[in-house]
Amino acid sequence: MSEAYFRVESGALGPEENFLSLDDILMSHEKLPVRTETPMPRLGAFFLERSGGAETDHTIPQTFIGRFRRIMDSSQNTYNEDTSALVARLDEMERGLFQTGQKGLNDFQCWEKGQASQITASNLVQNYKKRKFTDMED
Amino acid sequence: MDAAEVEFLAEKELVTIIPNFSLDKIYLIGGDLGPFNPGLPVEVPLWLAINLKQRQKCRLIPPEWMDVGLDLTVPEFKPCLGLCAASMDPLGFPLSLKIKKLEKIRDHERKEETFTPMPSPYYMELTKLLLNHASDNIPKADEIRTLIKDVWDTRIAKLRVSADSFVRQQEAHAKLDNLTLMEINTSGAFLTQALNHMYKLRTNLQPSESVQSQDF
Repeated sequence: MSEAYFRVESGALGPEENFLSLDDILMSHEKLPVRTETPMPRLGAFFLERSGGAETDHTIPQTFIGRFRRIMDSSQNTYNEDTSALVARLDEMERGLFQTGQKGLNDFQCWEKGQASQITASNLVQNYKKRKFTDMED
Repeated sequence: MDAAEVEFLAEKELVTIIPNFSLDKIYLIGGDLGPFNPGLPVEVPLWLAINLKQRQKCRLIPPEWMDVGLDLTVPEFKPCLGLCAASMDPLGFPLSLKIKKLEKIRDHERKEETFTPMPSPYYMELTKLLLNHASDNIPKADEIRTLIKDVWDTRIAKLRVSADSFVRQQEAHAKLDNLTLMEINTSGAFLTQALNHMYKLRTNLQPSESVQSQDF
């Protein structure tokens, strides 16, 4: 008759994916073999090993340098206009940069118009009032 | 910084007012003010000048550079150099010799590739506050507003050219003279964020030993 229980050797969650041994159940991330790397912002960086040319090391910063001027000018010149066409071809980081430029411009324009010293109700108060009406209707 | 915070700092600048009330000298934490006598000019911080003007307790005198009047360069006064502005009456008739006027400032700014010294480190804030609250005391207010806007636009354009060449050449540091706080505040956040990103791009593409990794 075979035994009902036999001890399972630890595989440290290796290729055999052993979940039954005591060691594996008690496995913590400190014991687990792990390798972490900083995520690359551009997919092209993954292909550096394959391409191997010195010129590709500078392609990504050079691309950004080439686009920088247009992002700066468009973000700081368009005030109160539809910017969807301008941001359509930007990646996420560049869109964040564009928004920073817009914020600087909007802040300045708002100040110049004198709106910076106007008192307005905060969004919190406005939304709170709306919620109260909903409760009353229920 | 907000533009409003920059304006707050600008409101410490001194301007000349002519009060219509009497008040003994007052002693504030930041300094002494007054005494105030009707009809006699006195220098006060801009925040007080605006407040008194709004309460119709004074008349504001525009700064000497805020002028688009006639520029009579009299030969006798040619030795005067620099940013001096003098209203003299040596021969018994009113004669204004103002070497630096706003049109000259604007033209000079357009001509030079670098930033020229501005008549006030807070020229934009002073113009906006004075023209919004005391335009009745300032002759040719609309022209002044247009000229100051032209100067501002020229300087901001130069700032963008500088930022672009800075990024393009991937420099480590740069020095720009004669910039004002409002100009730096409007454009600075964009530039620093772009440079942060450039730095990340450059360090991510360096050899693998500089990439953060953990091996167990």
